[in-house]
Amino acid sequence: MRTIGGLELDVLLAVARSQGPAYGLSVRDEVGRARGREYSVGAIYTTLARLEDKGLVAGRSTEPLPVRGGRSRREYDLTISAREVLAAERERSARRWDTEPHRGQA
Amino acid sequence: MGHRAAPGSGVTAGHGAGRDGSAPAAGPKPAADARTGGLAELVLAGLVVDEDELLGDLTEGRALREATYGGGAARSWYRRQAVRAVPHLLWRGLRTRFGWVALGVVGAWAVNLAVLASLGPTGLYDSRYTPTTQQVLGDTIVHGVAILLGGLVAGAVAALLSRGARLVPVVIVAAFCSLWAWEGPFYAIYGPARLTGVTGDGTYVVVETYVVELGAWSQDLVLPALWQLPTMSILMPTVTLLGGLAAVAWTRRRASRDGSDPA
Repeated sequence: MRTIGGLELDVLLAVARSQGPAYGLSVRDEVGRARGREYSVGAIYTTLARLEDKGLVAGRSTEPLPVRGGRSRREYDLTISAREVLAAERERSARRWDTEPHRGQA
Repeated sequence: MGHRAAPGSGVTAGHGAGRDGSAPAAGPKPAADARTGGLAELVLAGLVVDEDELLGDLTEGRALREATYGGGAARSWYRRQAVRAVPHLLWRGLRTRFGWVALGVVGAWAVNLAVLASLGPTGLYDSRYTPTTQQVLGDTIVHGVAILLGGLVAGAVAALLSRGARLVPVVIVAAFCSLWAWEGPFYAIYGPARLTGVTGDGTYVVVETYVVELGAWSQDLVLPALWQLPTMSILMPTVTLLGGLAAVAWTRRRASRDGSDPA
């Protein structure tokens, strides 16, 4: 199973949770909400690019849009590998919190 | 685990212009005037393979903020995002385009070395040898301007040789130039260092061993301190970057005219 970093995981989740098309700005907003801090457009852009290199998201370009100054938008969807990664991460997280800690609340 | 619905209308079939420099998306290219948004846009365009995604996101984000907070806040946000994106893009360009970046660096370095070799040795002066006015002019102005012009060409060559992320090798060469400029002062401070000169037959000889002498009375190290440092550590990287930016602007203009991929 391929391993991914924390930001990559949150970006994957943002793509998975997106109601409409998932693209740089929408992913940035979602990741910012989830992590409670603002990320730069460049950081999300390079993370999405890295995930695409790893075969975890598939991107496709739209037609040029006026709101983007006539530029196309690159929209992302999860690949089958990404769904496997997310399922494994969810299972790992559930296993981690399966037993109640003895020494206080974390 | 839910996943998002299929993208809305306006999506082209299959994969569009990829970051790997694959074929651009179908459909009309954006108008040329939409691609000329100033220095920040030019820099970012020079650091990515497919500029539409990043610059489009920034343009869209700026438009959203302009509607809510006004033009000043939107421009400030755009500039801030552009600056914050640069290190991410440099690192990604270096990692994913290493071969092209290396080619650009080697090409630029070859240009710089060719310029230095064609100029010949430069005289070194200290308190015991007063050069003529012609020697000073020749060694400082003529050599200096020629080296700076060489740096301009080197920056452009680095950008043109690299496919995609064209500014990454330019930034590396500019950084090397800046570091190189500190060689003389570094040895002077951590010396004692040897000051070498060139004799008439072109051989290098040790003129004297010295340590740094700071103060108005000192005539030693005037050239490294007052000429080499500011020119090589500031002007040389600046002209290298300008050459690279000019090359990026040229490739974008040509791509916009031809409807091809600027990468």
